[in-house]
Amino acid sequence: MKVKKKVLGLSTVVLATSIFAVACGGDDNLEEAMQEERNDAEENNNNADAGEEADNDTNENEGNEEASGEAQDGGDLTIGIVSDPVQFLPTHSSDTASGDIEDIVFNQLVRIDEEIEIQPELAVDWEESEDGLTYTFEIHEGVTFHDGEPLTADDVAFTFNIFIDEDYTGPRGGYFRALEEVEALDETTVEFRLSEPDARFLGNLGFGIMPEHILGDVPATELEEHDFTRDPVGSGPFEFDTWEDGQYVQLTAYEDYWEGAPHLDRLTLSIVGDQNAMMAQIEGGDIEMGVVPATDFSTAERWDEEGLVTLSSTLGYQYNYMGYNTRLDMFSDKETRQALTHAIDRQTIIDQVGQGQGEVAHGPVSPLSWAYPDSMPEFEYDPDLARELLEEAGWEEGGDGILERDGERFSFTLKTNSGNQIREDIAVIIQSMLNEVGVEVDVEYVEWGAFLDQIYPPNWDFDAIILGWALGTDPDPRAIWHTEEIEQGQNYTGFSRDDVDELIDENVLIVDQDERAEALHEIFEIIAEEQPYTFLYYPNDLVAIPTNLEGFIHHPRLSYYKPHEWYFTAE
Amino acid sequence: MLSYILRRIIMAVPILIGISILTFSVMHLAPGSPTSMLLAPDIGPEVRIAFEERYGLNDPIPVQYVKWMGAMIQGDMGYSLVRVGMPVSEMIMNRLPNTLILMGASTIIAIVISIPLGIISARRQYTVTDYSVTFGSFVGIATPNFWIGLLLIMWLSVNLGWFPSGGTHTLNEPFSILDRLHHLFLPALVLATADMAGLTRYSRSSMLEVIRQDYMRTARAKGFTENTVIYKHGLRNGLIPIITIFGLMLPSFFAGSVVVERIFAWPGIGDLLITSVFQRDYPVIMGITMISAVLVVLGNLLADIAYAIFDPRIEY
Amino acid sequence: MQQEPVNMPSSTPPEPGPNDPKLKKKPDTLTKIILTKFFRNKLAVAGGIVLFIIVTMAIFAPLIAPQNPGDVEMDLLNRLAPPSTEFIMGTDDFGRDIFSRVLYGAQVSLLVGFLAMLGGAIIGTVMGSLAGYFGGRVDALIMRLVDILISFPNIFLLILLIAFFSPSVGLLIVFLASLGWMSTARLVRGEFLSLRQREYVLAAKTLGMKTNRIIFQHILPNALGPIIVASTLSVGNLIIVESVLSFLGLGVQPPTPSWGNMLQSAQNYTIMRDAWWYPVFPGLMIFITVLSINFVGDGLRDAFDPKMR
Repeated sequence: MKVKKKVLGLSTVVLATSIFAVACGGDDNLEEAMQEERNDAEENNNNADAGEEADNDTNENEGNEEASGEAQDGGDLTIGIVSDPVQFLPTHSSDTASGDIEDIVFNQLVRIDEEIEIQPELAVDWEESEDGLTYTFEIHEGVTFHDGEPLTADDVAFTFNIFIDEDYTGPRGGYFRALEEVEALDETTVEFRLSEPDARFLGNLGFGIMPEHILGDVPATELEEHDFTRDPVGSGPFEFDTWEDGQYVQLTAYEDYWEGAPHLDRLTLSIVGDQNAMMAQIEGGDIEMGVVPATDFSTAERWDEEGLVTLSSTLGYQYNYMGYNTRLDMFSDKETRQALTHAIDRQTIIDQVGQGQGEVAHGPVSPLSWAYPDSMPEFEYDPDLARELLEEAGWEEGGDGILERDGERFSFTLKTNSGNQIREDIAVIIQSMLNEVGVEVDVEYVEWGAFLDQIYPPNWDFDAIILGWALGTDPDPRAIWHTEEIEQGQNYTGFSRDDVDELIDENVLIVDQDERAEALHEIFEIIAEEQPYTFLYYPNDLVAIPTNLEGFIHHPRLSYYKPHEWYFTAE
Repeated sequence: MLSYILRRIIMAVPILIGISILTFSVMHLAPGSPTSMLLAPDIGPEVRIAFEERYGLNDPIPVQYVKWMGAMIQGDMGYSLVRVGMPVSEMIMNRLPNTLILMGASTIIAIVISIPLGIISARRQYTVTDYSVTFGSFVGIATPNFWIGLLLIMWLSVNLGWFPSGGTHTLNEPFSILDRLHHLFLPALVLATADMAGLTRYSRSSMLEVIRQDYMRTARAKGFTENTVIYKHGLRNGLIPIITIFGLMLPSFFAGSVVVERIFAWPGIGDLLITSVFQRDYPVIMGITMISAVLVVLGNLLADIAYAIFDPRIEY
Repeated sequence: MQQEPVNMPSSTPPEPGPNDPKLKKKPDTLTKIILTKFFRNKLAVAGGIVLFIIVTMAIFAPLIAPQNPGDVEMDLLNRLAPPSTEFIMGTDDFGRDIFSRVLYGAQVSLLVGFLAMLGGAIIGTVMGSLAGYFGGRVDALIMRLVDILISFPNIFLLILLIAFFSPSVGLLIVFLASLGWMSTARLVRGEFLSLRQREYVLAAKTLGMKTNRIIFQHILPNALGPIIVASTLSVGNLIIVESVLSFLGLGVQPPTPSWGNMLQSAQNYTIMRDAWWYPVFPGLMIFITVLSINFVGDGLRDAFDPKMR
């Protein structure tokens, strides 16, 4: 995995954001529609046995070979999305659908590329002071918002000052705790001043720049109620046109786009409600591009062979896991947890639930990340070893064939949110696999809202759960693994180790990426050794695109990456 | 007549209040809250409290109810918790027309198919035709309509490609009434199935009742042909009771719309209800519940009034 | 998915004809008449037989089913296998035998339908008796409650209840019952109103008979016919409601199989396209069962209907 030196911190941005997104996204059914979407994304895979290779540009464009046609300008592209967007306000919105559209309508100072590295976008360049407390950005000239007003350093300062406004109630205040002030020095120069060094800082900048001339006078508390959230004005390649509630969002090409006018005339994001409708409409031709659920991989693959669509696949930047409530006696020792992981055949789960589309996971970090350690502890599927280890950990077979330790039967409830077919299926499979080694598992599906309520602090009302995390571009593990995140945060399992806490506190202060990587490797190795989760797998991300669409880059994190470079070839 | 209508309207008020209290209590007594749904757990208590205050979620439930009701009476249904700043009334108005169009189309389909079938069945009582119609209506009642919907989508939309599988119209095309009808047909048909069965059987028994009446015999005795007797005399009297059944069909239409809209990606309020339930968007749930209750009550009222107008025997 | 069999005009109480006193004298004859009439109705008898078979198979599922539905067959070779002699209804996406799951699902679906009906009938009878016996304010209150619940798509309320409470099967039955008693209550109340003033009830009263005895000896037996008819028909309806709720992800939660949640799992696009047997068989079971129940209910209605005697 090459790492460009120039790019220092990878972005943190997404960790928090993304965690929240998954959390939201996880939901079900019905609503849960968002979740479904996430799910889909989760399950896909690419070519199956991709092994440990973290090569994400696998079959990026199978379509290439068909690219014999001529490039042409113009054309409309209809993209299916599962759920309705919520609001368009980059500083506040947290759902996947809104975020994806904001990625098209707005420009950011920097943006992560398909190798999860930070690249300048509006920024021409930036400088970081010796002490790591000041970042100075030079931005492009001649960028205009869709209403024709120029985008200047003032707009950048305006946008980021919202996060540190004392009245800011959005979900991202946490990423900017170290940020003290943002100031425009001139038309194209903006300076960020921090109270302490923060290795994650650059990653925090991946938010759309909003126009001060429209929102400048709106108090922070009223931003979310402003009409802008339903009719946003950005500077991105496509401008917001219409939003028909529950039906579609339409974006039209911004001819004066500073990186060059988009080739396509119009993007229509059609809201289809669920994955099955998405598949039916892709086949019917009503939708040309959309996420394919892993459960429908075989169908999509057939369409690819028949020339109906091009199926693109890449390793998703996320993982699914089974988390243990380490507060319980039965899960309190790592030997037991490791044994359980040995008893779970994760490759079979991928094959069964995700039609082979994914890679077995061993730790809380993606192999796509520079922070992935070389020597991650791995606990391979080996039920005999699992039984042996359980015995060593003090578990003995009771009268009914279920293990017992100190009079406690090894019997627990595995919860996940209802309506998420993939997680439900994983639970059933794990139930039967653990049964093989003498562990009794009850499976329970709980509606998303009630589920969150049960697992959130201070309830922690669960034995074990199945969930997924979308990973942030910055690998800082604090939000899930620091002791401080137990009482108020997402460390549901109650994982706590002083040495890990210390390392986490330190890692964000290390600005040099290589040095920081060492600290992170250590953290991840400890967590993987402890197995507070059984890390299940990294699902692949599958997208069906029109066979004559070129310029599409399958980004592991962003649904629509550089859409102004997409074009149709004449067939 | 007028006083009758007024009386009916006044009677509807406690019903609507009852429905609102029921729905409100169910929502607020349930475990889990919109706060845990909408805010990440790492959000500080200040933000949480601010959020709850902003939406009055920390008031005692009766207080919340009274506040909500007070605003509701003034026509203010509040704001969505999820789509911040979006008035509930606007969200509902964006979608209600779609639901009404769907229900209207279903009603027409149900009438066009069921009433003639019911009449034919009654005229040929105890014949093969009668038995087939009766059997057919049993089939309609016994099949979950989402199942019919799914099978029809797979068969007619996906395999044969005759109908679009979802949505209200083809995107990026100019408005076309044909295109709209094309999209409308399958969902409307599926929504109609459950009630078609009932309507057919109702028309049949209603016609049977009429056929046995004295005036029919009189008409026959006068030498009118059987067709004249049936369609001129029988139909009018036989159809009057059917009017009331439309009022009764409304709740089942709303119930059916939840599922049908979901399957056919039809952006109506049934679909919105489900989405809102899963997002715990309380104000939207309340809004949809109340709007449907008002429509159902109104529908019944209209049906009764129509009945009164058509049936001269009834006096008020 | 109508909540109430609104479309059953004759589920209104039969007008008590002049033969009612007779009814008391010669109950055996009446039962005989009803049975004779019922057995003359071929559809009803056929429905009864089919229903009997289904119920028996559900009860003896552990003996009949080739597979325990709890087992997850991890054999990818048997995943979504088409119907064959080994798997007569094919297998699902876990390679589980659909026939076995349909049998065990029958237990759950029938239990939910039957117990919810029973609950609804009991609540309805109690409420209807209270309203009919006491009249006045009690009556007004109960009837308002009935109006509220009837003039409202109560699947909305069910969706809320179930989504927010994530209920177990038991609680699901309670919820269904508590929203399914209104038509019974109306029937019973109607019977009270029409019989309260009848001579023999008045006579019983003047003779100093206890209220309870009057209700149980005189009034309820009269209402029994319509209650049985309405309840029978409601079982079918409840099975459908359970499947609809399952379709929305709100019914009986897997891995416990019910016909509804099997249909929900079968809803995946690829399965619908490539494995027709998965969505078709559980749906067919719902269809056949509800159809049989309705035939039986309809036969009972005709049999109880004094006009058709």
